[in-house]
Amino acid sequence: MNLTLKVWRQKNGKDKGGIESYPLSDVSPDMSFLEMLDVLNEELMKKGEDPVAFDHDCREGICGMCSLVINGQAHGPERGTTVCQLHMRHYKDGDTIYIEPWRADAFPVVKDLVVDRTAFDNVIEAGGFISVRTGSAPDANAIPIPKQNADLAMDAASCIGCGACVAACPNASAMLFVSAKVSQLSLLPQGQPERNKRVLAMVKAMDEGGFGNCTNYEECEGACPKEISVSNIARMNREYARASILGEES
Amino acid sequence: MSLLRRTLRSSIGRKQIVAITGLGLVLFLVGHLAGNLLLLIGHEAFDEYAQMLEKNPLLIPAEIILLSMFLVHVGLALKTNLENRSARSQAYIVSGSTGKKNFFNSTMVATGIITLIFLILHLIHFKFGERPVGRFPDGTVLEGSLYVAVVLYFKESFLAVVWYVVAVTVLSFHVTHGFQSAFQTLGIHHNRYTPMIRWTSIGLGAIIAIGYSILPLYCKFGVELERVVQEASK
Amino acid sequence: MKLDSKIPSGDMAAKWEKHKFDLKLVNPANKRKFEILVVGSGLAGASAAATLAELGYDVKCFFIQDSPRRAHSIAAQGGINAAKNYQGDGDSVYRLFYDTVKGGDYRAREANVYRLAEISVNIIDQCVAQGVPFAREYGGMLANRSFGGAQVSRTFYARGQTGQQLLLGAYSALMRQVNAGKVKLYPRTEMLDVVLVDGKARGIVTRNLIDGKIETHAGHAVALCTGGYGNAFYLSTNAKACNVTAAWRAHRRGAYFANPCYTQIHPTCIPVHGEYQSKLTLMSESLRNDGRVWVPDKAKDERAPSSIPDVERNYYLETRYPSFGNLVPRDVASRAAKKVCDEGFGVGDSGLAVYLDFADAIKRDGENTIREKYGNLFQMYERITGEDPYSTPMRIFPAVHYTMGGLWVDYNLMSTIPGLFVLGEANFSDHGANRLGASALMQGLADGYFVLPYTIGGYIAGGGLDDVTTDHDAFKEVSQEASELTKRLLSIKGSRTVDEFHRELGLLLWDNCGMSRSEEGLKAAKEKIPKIREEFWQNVIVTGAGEELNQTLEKAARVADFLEFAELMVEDALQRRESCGGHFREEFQTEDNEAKRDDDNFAHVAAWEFKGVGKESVRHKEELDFVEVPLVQRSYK
Repeated sequence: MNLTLKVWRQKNGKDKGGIESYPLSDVSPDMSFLEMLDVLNEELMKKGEDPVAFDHDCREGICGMCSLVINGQAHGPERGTTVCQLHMRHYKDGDTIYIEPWRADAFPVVKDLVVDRTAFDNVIEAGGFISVRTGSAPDANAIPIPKQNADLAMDAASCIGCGACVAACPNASAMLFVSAKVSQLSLLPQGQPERNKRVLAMVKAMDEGGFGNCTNYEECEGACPKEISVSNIARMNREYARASILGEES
Repeated sequence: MSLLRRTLRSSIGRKQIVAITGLGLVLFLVGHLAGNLLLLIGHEAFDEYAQMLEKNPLLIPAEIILLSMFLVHVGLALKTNLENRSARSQAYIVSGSTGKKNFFNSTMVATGIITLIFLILHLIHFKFGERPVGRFPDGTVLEGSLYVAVVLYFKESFLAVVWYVVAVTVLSFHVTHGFQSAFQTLGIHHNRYTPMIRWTSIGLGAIIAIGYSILPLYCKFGVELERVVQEASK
Repeated sequence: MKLDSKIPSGDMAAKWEKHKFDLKLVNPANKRKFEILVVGSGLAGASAAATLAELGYDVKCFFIQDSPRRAHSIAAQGGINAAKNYQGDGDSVYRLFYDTVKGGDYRAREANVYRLAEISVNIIDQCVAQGVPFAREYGGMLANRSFGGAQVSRTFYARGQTGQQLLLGAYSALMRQVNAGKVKLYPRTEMLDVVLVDGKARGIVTRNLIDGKIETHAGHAVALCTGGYGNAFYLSTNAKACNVTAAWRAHRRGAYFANPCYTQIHPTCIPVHGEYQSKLTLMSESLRNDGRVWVPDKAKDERAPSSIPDVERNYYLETRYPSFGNLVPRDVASRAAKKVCDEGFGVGDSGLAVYLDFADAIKRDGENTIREKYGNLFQMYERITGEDPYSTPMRIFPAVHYTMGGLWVDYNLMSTIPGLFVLGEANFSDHGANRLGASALMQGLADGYFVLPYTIGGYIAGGGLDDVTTDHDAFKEVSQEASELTKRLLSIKGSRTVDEFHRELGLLLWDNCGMSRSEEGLKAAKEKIPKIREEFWQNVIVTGAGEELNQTLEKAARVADFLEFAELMVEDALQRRESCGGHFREEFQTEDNEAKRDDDNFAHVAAWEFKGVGKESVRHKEELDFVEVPLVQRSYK
């Protein structure tokens, strides 16, 4: 099939950037979206032009590196799918496809479609951990965890930190990402000692990161490649309310 | 850090205040609607209710609370909205949705602002308006009747009826998203109960839209003022 | 130089304990005076950086992705082994040790493997304490599944995302130390070279991938945790950015490279579908727990798989290996698949695939149970192929997956360059010629959490580490070289893209140094590789500039290293005139086509010394003693 790609090009963080149009022919329906971009880049290089910079790595939907907004949808039109697992069979001959980077002031553009997601690391750094020294852990079966809680924790923990939630949120809010980690740790007995401190610290880091606020559009859930539920956001809200009333210590 | 300061500084804290005040305002809306529906029973019931409220010493404190809830709700919501706008200074060239965005949740600011305008006009007309001068076509005057003032207001202006119906419908949109959203913001989410809350939210929106719309329509088309006056002057 | 593996004396079971006691300690107050450079942020890198920082060392951690959480460990699906014996099915440290040595086809160092098995139990404890949500049973206890090469259930898992969860655990421990100010992170930073001062590793040269700045960092020791070299084959299950560069540049500076020919071909991957294909996707080996592998009895049978009756199917793994059945080790399963496809029984358009069928398991356990166990894998398969594995068998084929070879290290994980430690897949130590499933995660975390933190102390306490700063001439020299390499790549302005060269190299390696190797093929490859390399340096296109984010330049430098490395891999395969584990030489096989080892001549590690590009490397031997596990022909029948 033949496609017209409208790709956001931006030399670096200071450049203003704009859309460039590229026709691409003979795209196979079995290609992944990123393989299609590989083909475009090969063509560009052969013409001596600068290839389109985009983040990608594992290409199996788990590393969270790939980050494209396709026709206004983070990771494209398929539910529960990262761009690297989106296949061209979902497009048809003659389609025009707009490809933009994640857009949020918290994720500044580095080049073309590559953005800087350090703000996410800062949130985890603030408290997305359980403080346990290496070697000091009790036997793994010492604390039984109800399967239901373990499963809920796993649902939340499956977040890949790609940032699609922020990209898709009309407010560029990071609530789904932050709440996934807060939820995971608050659901487990191991996470209890630092429960209050954690949520207060992580929300503070989130606010400082320049993200917007959640107004319950729930676009994030729709865009999340791991289909993480907004019930985690509710859980974080609950954890936050509890922590702010009780204070860090209790 | 004090609880209040911390809460006001944090995005979640602010939204939880917006949620709590919002729920309070919804409560008020429901109570207000129940009171207003007395209008359907007749001028005595309605005016008695109005007088009861006005003579109640708790009215002023209640109004202050209501007003401050309202101001806090609007103020913090606007602040949140301004922050949200600045969180994405470069907009997408093509905007798309991944499914959950809808008319109700994406028009909260607009519906909120229309509600605010409506409310100001509403207060001007009915709270601070020249109420007692219910002057009838035949020259009789019914003093102090809010009932007459309300009915006359709608009888005299078709535009007022339309505006009122439109405004309460817009308000109901605001409530439809706001009510359930408040629960989510306060952390109340449960696989079994959340769908109920969502339906309640929609029902509440419908009740507000229909309930409040009945009033101007009834005033305009349902009330025979002459009869009211005759009865009143007995 | 004689290779000294520094294996402690004494009973196998007491070696590590004794060694830990014998290692000198660094005074807690002094630790902060020592700076450790950790390169890589995967399981090994993140766990090492976090633990070293916890102990008090000053740590800098470098990685090429934008966040430590994206290292390729994240993609491991199936699980992590540990000798917990929670199932009460007869597992023990000794059995895990035994299975691993045997699974590695008797080409691993016994003492290292024993230590690994010993530590495995601590890893699970550590990870659970960190909040890793492993699968649980209804009673709240940890669940296990079985994996290839073992007859006990000892694999812990978190759905099909075990690597992700373990890495996020290590990442959280790392971020905690970042928060404490003990670790400084260098995201999007690629190590280009290691700097030696007085023969010791004292720093590294890096390129900031965002602005292209070549930077130098000095420290008291360097830990390479930079993964394997599977991407030499171009198509592999590795992430696109996985590369051999850090290991190769260290090799060029004097670190011996051990057993580069040991590559693991994973039996259950989604088959190749087109020329543009950029990577292969693995389906966890755990699928073989419930899936049955078969091909039609009739070659080129065009019927839909469901309409081929059971009697006309060849469940070749179950027939050939009745006691292990579908759960034979990876090398055996891969070769068996290649064999039936070579014989013309392969399925799919290319004839390069076999069926992995869940119909019986679904009939037995119900679709929901299968969905619960493998839901995300099935979903992934459907997304890529457009076929529903609940109703039609998956088609799978082997693909390059893991590399057992790596930089040579002693028992302390130190390479032949003093002060240069190598952890995880980047070293060669624990898996011999074939790695068992669910053991890579175990090794990465063992090295990072529980081995290096002890052994590095012994090295540092040994003294002789004067303060060195980046002002030292050695740093200037090495960084000069690194800048020149960049300039050279940018100046070529040829007509073939980096990927074109990489594909050519990959195909050559796959055909001649892949699942089966022959003297003839290897010699042909050996001749061909220098030619590709030569053309590369004359005709590659690298667009853009050095002082910006330039993904083509990054890729070009990595492929340049693969082009040098590949020659060593082929040479090693050529010189190892036996079949063992993942290294199958067609000349050396038993009558029923199983790998035939030559223990008299090859029960050793081949560690290669670099002598210059295009020059013959020198092959050193570390003899392997098998004291606990007697050398026998590996059998899974």
